Amino acid sequence: MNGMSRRTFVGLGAAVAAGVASTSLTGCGSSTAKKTEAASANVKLPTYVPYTGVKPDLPPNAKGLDSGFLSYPKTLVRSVPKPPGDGSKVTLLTEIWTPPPTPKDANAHWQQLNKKLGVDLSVIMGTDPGYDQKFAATVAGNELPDLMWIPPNQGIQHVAQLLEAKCADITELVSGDAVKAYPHLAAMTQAHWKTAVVNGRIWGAPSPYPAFGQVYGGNPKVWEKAEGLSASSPDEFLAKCKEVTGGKVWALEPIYSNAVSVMSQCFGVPNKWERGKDGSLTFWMETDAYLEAINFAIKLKKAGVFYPGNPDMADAYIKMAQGSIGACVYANPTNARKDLRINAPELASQILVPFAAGGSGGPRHHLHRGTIGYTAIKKGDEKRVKMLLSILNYMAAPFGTEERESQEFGSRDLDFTFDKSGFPVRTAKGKKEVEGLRSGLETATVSPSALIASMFEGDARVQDVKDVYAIEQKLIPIGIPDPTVGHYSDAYTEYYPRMSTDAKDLVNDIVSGRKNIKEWKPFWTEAKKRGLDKMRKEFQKSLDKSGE
Amino acid sequence: MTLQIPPLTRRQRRVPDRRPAWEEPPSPVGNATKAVVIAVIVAVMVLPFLVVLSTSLASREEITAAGGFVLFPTEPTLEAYRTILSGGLITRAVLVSAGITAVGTALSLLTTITLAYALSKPGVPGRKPVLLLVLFTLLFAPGMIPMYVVVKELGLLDSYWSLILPGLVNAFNLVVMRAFFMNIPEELYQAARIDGAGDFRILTRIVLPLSKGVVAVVGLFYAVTYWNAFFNAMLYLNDSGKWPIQLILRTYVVQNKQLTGDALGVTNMPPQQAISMAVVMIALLPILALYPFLQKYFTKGVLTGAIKG
Repeated sequence: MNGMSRRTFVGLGAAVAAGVASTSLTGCGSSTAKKTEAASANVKLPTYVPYTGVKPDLPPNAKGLDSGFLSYPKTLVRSVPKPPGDGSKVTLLTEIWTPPPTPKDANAHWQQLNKKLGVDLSVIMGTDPGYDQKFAATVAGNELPDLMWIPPNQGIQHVAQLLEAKCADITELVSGDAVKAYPHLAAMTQAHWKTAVVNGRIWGAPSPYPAFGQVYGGNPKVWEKAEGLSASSPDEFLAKCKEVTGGKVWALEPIYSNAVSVMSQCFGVPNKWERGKDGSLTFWMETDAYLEAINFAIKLKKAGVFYPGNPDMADAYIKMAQGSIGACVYANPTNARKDLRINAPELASQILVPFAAGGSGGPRHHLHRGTIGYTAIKKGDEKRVKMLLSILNYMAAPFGTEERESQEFGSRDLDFTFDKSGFPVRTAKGKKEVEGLRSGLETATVSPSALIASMFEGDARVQDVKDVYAIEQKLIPIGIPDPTVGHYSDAYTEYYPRMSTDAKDLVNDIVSGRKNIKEWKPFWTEAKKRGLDKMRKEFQKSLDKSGE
Repeated sequence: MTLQIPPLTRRQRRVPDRRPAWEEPPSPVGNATKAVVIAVIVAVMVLPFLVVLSTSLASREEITAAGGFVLFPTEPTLEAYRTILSGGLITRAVLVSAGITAVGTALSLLTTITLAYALSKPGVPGRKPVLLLVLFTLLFAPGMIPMYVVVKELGLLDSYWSLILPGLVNAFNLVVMRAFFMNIPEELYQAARIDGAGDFRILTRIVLPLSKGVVAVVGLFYAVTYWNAFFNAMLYLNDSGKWPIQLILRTYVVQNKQLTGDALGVTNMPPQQAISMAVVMIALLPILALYPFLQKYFTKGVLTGAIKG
């Protein structure tokens, strides 16, 4: 996903639109509030039917390893035989992560895409931060768009009530083998579909995202001095950080909460929640191992290896490309490689694989939930709901299909041409018309994550795919999922954004020396009363019911 | 009997001769201290602005060498400005902002002046209830969702008017202007009426020429508000082609999302910091340029409005 905001996807705290006042959805009944604890219990998820139209060069695996494509296919597969739409108007509320595209009236690519979709698609483009406010206002206006992207982590509350009151329950249309009527949606794994399950029913098409989580990505020129960005122990990592720090270069970006988050993987901290033998849930920040990770970050801070900026600095990636910062935290290995290539095409970022830093479980890699939410469909007659599902099916067309190319690059020779290596390159027209629209569409839904050479900038894109694939192979064995993925908690949507922001601020204050580490434990004692125990209880009940 | 005058104490003798400290001629040390303090304050104010300007003019090499922000570019270039004003996203957004600011300020001044004039005249029917209604909005701002619903019900969604009409009359500005009008001597009104002038003529020929200060100040307040507005645009404008510059600025500079060559339709992009800072400059300059022209009215206008009720 192009330029996806670090605020949204990097770090637990940063994952939430920071400080956003909670915005409730009005116009939705509250009668279903109590049902939300049932979460995903016992729903029959759609059957997984992987897409086999184009064979990848590097095979995926069931544990989450991405497939890899090293070249652009010479002939594309047509996977949707006729336009799925019925000629009606369709509105989509989504978020874009790039500048907006040329407006529809003046955008030939958009108009062409509408012909292929068979509808008049209008896109309401939200931005980050602010999507939750845009969403709440749009819902309050009582003219719901036909398709609405619902992210799990941007402070949108009372989602269950909204879905029950205003959205179509698509369980029967996609559950089990029924999903085969929408082959691109069927190519999404059950882990993807879990995100779209609330109250034991399925409410939309998932928005797949790489399944890998936060990593340190580093500028190879900076880490050359210390034989690369890798370490086998905290002491070695500290020593390497000290070695590369000097003059106008610092080893790490000063976003301490992200540093602690990545280091916590080395200390064996669970991924968001950990289920005990008795079924109890422990939040990752409550653990002693997380405290150890904070202590290690304090040690790094005292050693002077963090860039002397503030923890909210917005241009750390650029500074890393320029060589003033050695390593930044990225949402996943793919982004680490892609982003540095954008800012410094000649540099191939190195990625730190978590090292053992103590703890009983060894190093872990916190896997991402693999989606950034789902796109729900407005309540309507079955025919229209099916038509809208077909539109989403079109939008999820995988790599190697005509449908994917037309959405990602537009029309050949008009919006894009091929470079000498056979990879598509957008023309001036395509640059203005395609990118922003594609960003909004792929936020709504897209085919499952894959490593595709054309995703990377520059001449070394094939090597980029191989390198990221190799890193993913190293991360898979230590990867752990968040056990609450696929389970819905109202308390989570209500309390988590604030709690997460406060926790992130406290970590930044503690590491920067403004507050004492002794404040960490009391913070969590207090957090239990301010919603943590409530979300724990709701998740636990949901997990118990589903037998997970 | 002779009158015994007690001798003055040492303190009493000294005090009458001495002027207050602030009337003493400044000492060289005092002068130097003041100069240093003022210089520091000026530097604190000017330095960030200078850094923004310099970085927007700097080359990729200089930005890289400086580690991000440049203070004095050795080979200034306007490439960043050329790129963002090449007819794409930023140009359109600047034009949108300029249009909204111009039309909004004009309409706001028109409505505020006429309403303030009416509310400043005793004997106007319904004066108090209207004034109370206005003051109510000063104390209790409507929430985001009620405002959205009103804008939607008025059919203003996705229209530039949604950025102008909801904030057309600002209660604070109205109170300031009304207070100023009430301070104009009643005799002037009476004389005008004797000469046969109606309210419109009194307002345009007598009141407004005497109120240049407050009109300039209130106009500036409105202009700054319209120019800086992004939240309403984010909520009410679904068509991204209508986004004003501040929404672009917020999204792509404050949040550091990159303005890519793709979006701007160029192939050789200047460095990202130069682009970002150029956008900041473009967002700042128009309003900044207004201040020197309105400064002479500013103090008088604000103070007069502030102390009269």
